[in-house]
Amino acid sequence: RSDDGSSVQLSQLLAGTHSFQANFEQRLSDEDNQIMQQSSGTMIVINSGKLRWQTEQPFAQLVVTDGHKLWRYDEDLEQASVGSFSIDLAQTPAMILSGKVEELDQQYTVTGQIDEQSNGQFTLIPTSTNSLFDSLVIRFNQGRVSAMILLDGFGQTTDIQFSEVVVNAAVNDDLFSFTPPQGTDVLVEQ
Amino acid sequence: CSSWQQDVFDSGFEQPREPLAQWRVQGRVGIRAEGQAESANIFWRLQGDDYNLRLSGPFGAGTVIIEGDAEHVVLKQRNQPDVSAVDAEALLLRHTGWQLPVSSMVYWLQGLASPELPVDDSRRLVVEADTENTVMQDLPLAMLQQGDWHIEFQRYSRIESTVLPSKVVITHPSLRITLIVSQWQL
Repeated sequence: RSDDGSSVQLSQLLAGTHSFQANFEQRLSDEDNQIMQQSSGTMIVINSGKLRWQTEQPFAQLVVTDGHKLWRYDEDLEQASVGSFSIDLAQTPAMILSGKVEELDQQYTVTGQIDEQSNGQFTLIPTSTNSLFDSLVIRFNQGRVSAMILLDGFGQTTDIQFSEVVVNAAVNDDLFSFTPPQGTDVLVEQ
Repeated sequence: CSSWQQDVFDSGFEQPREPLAQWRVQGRVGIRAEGQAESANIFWRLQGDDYNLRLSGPFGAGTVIIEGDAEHVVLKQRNQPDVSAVDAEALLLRHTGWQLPVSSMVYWLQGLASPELPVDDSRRLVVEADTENTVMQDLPLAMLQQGDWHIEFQRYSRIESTVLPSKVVITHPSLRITLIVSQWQL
């Protein structure tokens, strides 16, 4: 059962956020902790459900949504697609960082806490069975999100470390739409 | 996947080198077909006839795992029972909609022709003059036409003493597959 204190504490920590931007280092490792993929780039999310996740290394790959449309652009694959922003993507972990915490305690069972220096972590277990991951850990450093670690059904771990975190900065809205370069082969998904 | 049979290739076509007995690849794969544009991170480990191929989406979500050996293949997906078959291609297509010629890609990924298909046409990379002692057959492949599959080796990188592809574009009348390798481990 959710430890209400944790859920409330996490919501309070996140609720003050209306925009969250950072550099990220992401590492995907398998059940034997062998690294399968490492990537890095920049991300920004705002609490009206808009997200920009720009991977720079090892590939240039962009995921952008304005809350209605979702663009995916793979530069080296020379491939782009635009489609409607589906709800299950709304549960992507990044969305939680945007301060969208209204239904947090319905969507997740939350445990964990932070100490007086606002360091610590929370573990979120999705309540729905068809979620994208088994559990999500959100780590805080002096009251700021410093990492997110996702576990999925295969014992795979996605470890995302954030740096240069900026919270509640004014954000230019056209960051959340995307126009593919001339001549890009774009698939419009119905 | 079948082992390398010499007779399938046309006379005069020689593989640049022996297939590698084991490798590990990290990269990205894209499929562009009628009404479909998918991309995923790919992690592929091969040892002799045994292989483990993983396709995963953003944040490691939606991972599909294919584990195969000479006899059969198992496909694993989140919240779904494992399914097994003899042929990886059919299994992947039926359960994920992805059309990947896995057993041929094992060879194309290494810059080699697939023993599963005839070689109808091939071209080698043109190498600068300073390697005049390079034997024609040792030059890496630039292009292969194998049946309906057109394979272009667009980028190579050197790993230890071997030159291996880092970008391969595979086109078929109904689709285009782009394979990018960010890391080879031998």
